[in-house]
Amino acid sequence: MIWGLTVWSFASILILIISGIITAVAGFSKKHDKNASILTITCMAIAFFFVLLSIPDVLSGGVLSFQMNAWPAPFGITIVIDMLTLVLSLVITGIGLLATLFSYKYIKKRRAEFYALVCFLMAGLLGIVHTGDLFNLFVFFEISNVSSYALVAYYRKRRSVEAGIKYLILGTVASSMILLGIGLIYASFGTLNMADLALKLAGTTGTIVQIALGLLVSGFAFKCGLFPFHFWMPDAYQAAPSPVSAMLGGLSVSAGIYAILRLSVGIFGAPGTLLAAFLVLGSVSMITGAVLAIMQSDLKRMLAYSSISQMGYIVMSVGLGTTLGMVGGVFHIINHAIIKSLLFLCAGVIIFHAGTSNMYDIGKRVRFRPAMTYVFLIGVLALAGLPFFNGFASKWLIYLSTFEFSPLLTIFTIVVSVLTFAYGIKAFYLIFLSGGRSSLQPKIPYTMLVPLIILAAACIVIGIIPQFGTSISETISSGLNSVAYTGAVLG
Amino acid sequence: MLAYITAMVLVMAGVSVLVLKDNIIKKIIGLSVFSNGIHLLFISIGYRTGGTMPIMQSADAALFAQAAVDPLPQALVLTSIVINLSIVALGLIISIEVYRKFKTLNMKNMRGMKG
Repeated sequence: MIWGLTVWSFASILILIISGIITAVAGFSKKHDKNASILTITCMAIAFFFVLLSIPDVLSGGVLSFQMNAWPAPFGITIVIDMLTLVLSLVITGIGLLATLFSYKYIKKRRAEFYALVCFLMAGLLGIVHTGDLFNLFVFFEISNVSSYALVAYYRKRRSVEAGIKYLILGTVASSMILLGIGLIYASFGTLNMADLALKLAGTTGTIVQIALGLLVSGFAFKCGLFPFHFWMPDAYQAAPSPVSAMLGGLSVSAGIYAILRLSVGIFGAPGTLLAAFLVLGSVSMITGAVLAIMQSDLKRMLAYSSISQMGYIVMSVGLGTTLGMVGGVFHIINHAIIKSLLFLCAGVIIFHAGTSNMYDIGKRVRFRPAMTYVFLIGVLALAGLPFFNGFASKWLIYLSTFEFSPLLTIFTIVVSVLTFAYGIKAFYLIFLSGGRSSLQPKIPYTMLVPLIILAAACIVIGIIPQFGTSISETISSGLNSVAYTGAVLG
Repeated sequence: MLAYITAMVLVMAGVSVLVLKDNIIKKIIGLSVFSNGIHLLFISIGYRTGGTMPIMQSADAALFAQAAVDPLPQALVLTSIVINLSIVALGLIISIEVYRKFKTLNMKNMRGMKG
């Protein structure tokens, strides 16, 4: 391949950056504004295809890695692709493709600006999961963050600019914390390569290391809205355009959780104090998110609180420290990305036709066709974790792993699932069943309906055949802390 | 040592401005000061008193490694300064929009969002 690239899926980052630049430049003329959406959808499809191309390599070779510009391993920037990277890249490019397709009819003004930012957001998220270098991780994190600040403020209404400026200030504090953590690590170990760092860290327990790990984990916990860092999340998700909410709520949080997993489990070797903190913070996130979600009247705000709750599930089950918990957590990342983007895209359709996101008003204004009703119902049931949906497959593993730890925790987890079911059914009832006599049945454009149906089908297929997902998650969690990673990078 | 203390003072000053002031512009200035403190920390990690510039002029690699300053933190700080520049620019643009919509730059007087 060109430029010494040996891995196809890394080319997807390059093509997204190039497409973002072209879109931004073409946006200067009004004439090309419409072409921006077609260009971006094409490039997202090509990026998805590139990730698909690298599946056989990862399946046969295990962990792939290559060095940018062929600098030898601990010095140059490393790109590592293992099973976790591959699966998350598939999720990111696949759902990103569906969300851009969805926004074809949804975004009507200033398309070039929107699609250029979406390209950069996707490139940043893909970069986070691909990189094997700590500072490069920070750079991709910032690329995705800056584009999401601008996307949240995209509408330039009162709510959007307020949410945008809040998100920008809090997000920059979080990324400064990450930078400070990286600085402390470089000062004490003199390396930024993750694999090299994992070797040098083995067996050291200094105060500086703990402070650095704390700073890094809190910085990335901000991105996935874990309990003490969740305040920006409802505002930002409510104000952003719905396809962007789907990308942030489904993909951005997954990238944040990926960074936490890779750093805390893969590199720092999962210290016990950190796992205990994960257990506590995860449980608090679960219950706070679920209780606050019940109290919301705004659909997208409710979904944002639900994201906080589901992130709590993942972090709590990782914090158990058992293999089963890790498998359940990793599986739930994938399932949550699918379910939450499905629900946010449904919210997009609802807002597109009803003109409001207040659940109490939607039912009075619009009555939806059965296809839309079933898709939303599938999303709600999968989120609550009912059997035969994908949410159940991962939540079942989480229940089992908590039962090994303490049956009380299992009861708590099931109670939160019941609360999830409660707010999901509340939203479903208010939007679709309390319609009264409103006879308006809007026809949903195909560019919106097709992504919804694909995501809903994914929910059911993974729910009926969970063995495949479970075995992939087992491969991922056994590969997270193994020596294969460092061996592949350092040779 | 002086550089570490200055970096710490800058970080503390930035954080206290972020926490104590309600004006958005002041908060953005605080962010900038905060990151510049971290940049100073990075630079002082690689600094060496009386060191030469990290450009290899003779073939003696061991001598070069002893004399030159560490170039990596400088490259990192350069990247981080560019990132910080874009964040400050974006923050100021959004705060212009905030002033147009709310007629104030005070965070406490902005009440668009409700649960």
